[in-house]
Amino acid sequence: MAAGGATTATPTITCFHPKRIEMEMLGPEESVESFTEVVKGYSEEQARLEADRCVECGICVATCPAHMDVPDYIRSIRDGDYAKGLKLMYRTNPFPATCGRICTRRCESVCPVGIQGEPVAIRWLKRFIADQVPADEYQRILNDQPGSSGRQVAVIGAGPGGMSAAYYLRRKGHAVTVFEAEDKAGGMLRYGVPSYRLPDAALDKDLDYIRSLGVEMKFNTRVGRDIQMAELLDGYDAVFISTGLWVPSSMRIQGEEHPRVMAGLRVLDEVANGRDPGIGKSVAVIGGGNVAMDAARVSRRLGAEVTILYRRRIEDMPADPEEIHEAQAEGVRIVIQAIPVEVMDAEQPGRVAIKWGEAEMVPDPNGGRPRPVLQEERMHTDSFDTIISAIGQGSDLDFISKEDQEQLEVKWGKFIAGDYQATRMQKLFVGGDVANRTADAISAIEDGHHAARGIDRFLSGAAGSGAV
Amino acid sequence: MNTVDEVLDYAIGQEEEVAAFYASLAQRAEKAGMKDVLMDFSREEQRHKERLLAVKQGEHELTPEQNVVDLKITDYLVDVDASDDISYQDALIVAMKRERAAYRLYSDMAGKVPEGELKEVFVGLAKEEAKHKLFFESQYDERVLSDN
Repeated sequence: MAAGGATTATPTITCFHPKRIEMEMLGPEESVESFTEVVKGYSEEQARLEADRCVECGICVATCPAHMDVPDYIRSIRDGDYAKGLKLMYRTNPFPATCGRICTRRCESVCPVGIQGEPVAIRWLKRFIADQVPADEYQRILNDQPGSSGRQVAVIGAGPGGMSAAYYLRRKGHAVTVFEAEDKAGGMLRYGVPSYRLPDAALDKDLDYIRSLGVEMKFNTRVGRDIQMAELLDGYDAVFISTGLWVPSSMRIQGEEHPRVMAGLRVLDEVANGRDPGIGKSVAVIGGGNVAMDAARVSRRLGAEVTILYRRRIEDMPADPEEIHEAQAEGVRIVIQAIPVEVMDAEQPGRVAIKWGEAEMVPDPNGGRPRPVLQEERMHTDSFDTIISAIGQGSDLDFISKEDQEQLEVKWGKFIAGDYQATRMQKLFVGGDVANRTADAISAIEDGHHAARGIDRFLSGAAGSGAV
Repeated sequence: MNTVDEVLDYAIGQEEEVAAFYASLAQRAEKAGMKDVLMDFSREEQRHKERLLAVKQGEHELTPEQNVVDLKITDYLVDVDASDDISYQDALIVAMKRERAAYRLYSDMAGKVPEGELKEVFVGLAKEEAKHKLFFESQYDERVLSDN
């Protein structure tokens, strides 16, 4: 209270602009017309303005699974020194062009600027740096000159985990051979993430640089079919498994084997390979994760009307909220608290019907997310050209012999990794979705980096060796 | 089954049988990690058996809760084989179906006996089985229906 009874307003002082620089994107009407990348990327001026919002607190570094040096690479944008930014990013992440587009960005969820405004657009700034540096400049800037340790490491799976491990192992001078079942590298990033979110060119920019360090690729080589695990364990000094989660979970409901029911991963894989999955003009997608959302948005681009049936509420969906929002903007209809119970022939030939019931949410007595309970008196039946099932995916570990399985710790289809991603079997390391709980690209990348450190320690006689 | 002790002995025998079933399946399980999962199931059934033994000896009461939530996940799932290459998803389905069958048995029995101590025991056993079913259904909800 000021003298004389007059009040004075306390001026609000902030050292940053609360609103992030808006990202230019394709509008929903335009975006569903093609597989063109939706996000256009910042201009140089926009990136510098956005970089100015960073207060350099460093909380993001601790939160990022790969512990990327976010404040410093953002500062490199302010300084206009993109080469420095690129070098900083490659210290802990050899997938900046990829993560700059599809990272789950836990860093942004803790950015303190977000408390009074919108968090710094860390992901877009990462993308900006990677996009500024031409691919043919990478070698000169990063100056990776792998030596030769005389040791050989086999990597199973050319996804983000496997290729991250390959990169950091090569930097330590170890020879690396990657065994990949598909005919291209990238794993789920290539075959599970649609190109409107991650164009092949961006992914290949990251992968090509990793491969340029002399990583030997064995494509179309499935371990367990084309080469046996025992051969790798015998023939290499260490083995890193990062095979991902590729087996779609089955709904296990009556009629699921109907020919018009497809797995979400299969639809995404077909599209990634340039083939038409033949989904027709009306599609139901079952699930609320990123695969479901991608399958729904891909279906829209293929010209279908899309309805998502999800057992819980929007806020319970594991999919990225941004993806959910964009899916809705693109015309995807989401029916929440809808539990599928049976698949059957539709009345119209060539179509499929699904019976589903409404759900009420009940609290979980153990404090988990509320659980849906089917209301059997409120059932519905709808017909579609195709039902896409995307309720989750699991691992296929059948390539590991029974004897080896006895030595490994596996729980709920995932490896339990020890320090440095090591297992109970000597020379065997694991990482990525098949060994972590989060199952996202950035965690797989960190697992690969961590395993590379562990393998290097192992190959050099245990301790020592520092950061890869 | 005309006395409370006879009913409890039957229930204890059932839990023992199911525990042995999971232990046997665990020995044959081919998929990575399934031995441990099935042995966990077996130990869970052993705990149920011990709980019922405690009830029989008057050291414990049957489930006192008014109602146990029925997620109804089991009701619409197809039957699966308890084969040697059983997956985690199918192992949970087998477990849920077994708990549901036991729940239905005791519920039916409760409906067939007059009011009294015997009926209370059947109702109590049905609630125990409902709780066990909820345990497995919650696991299925969390781990198999992770994206759903």
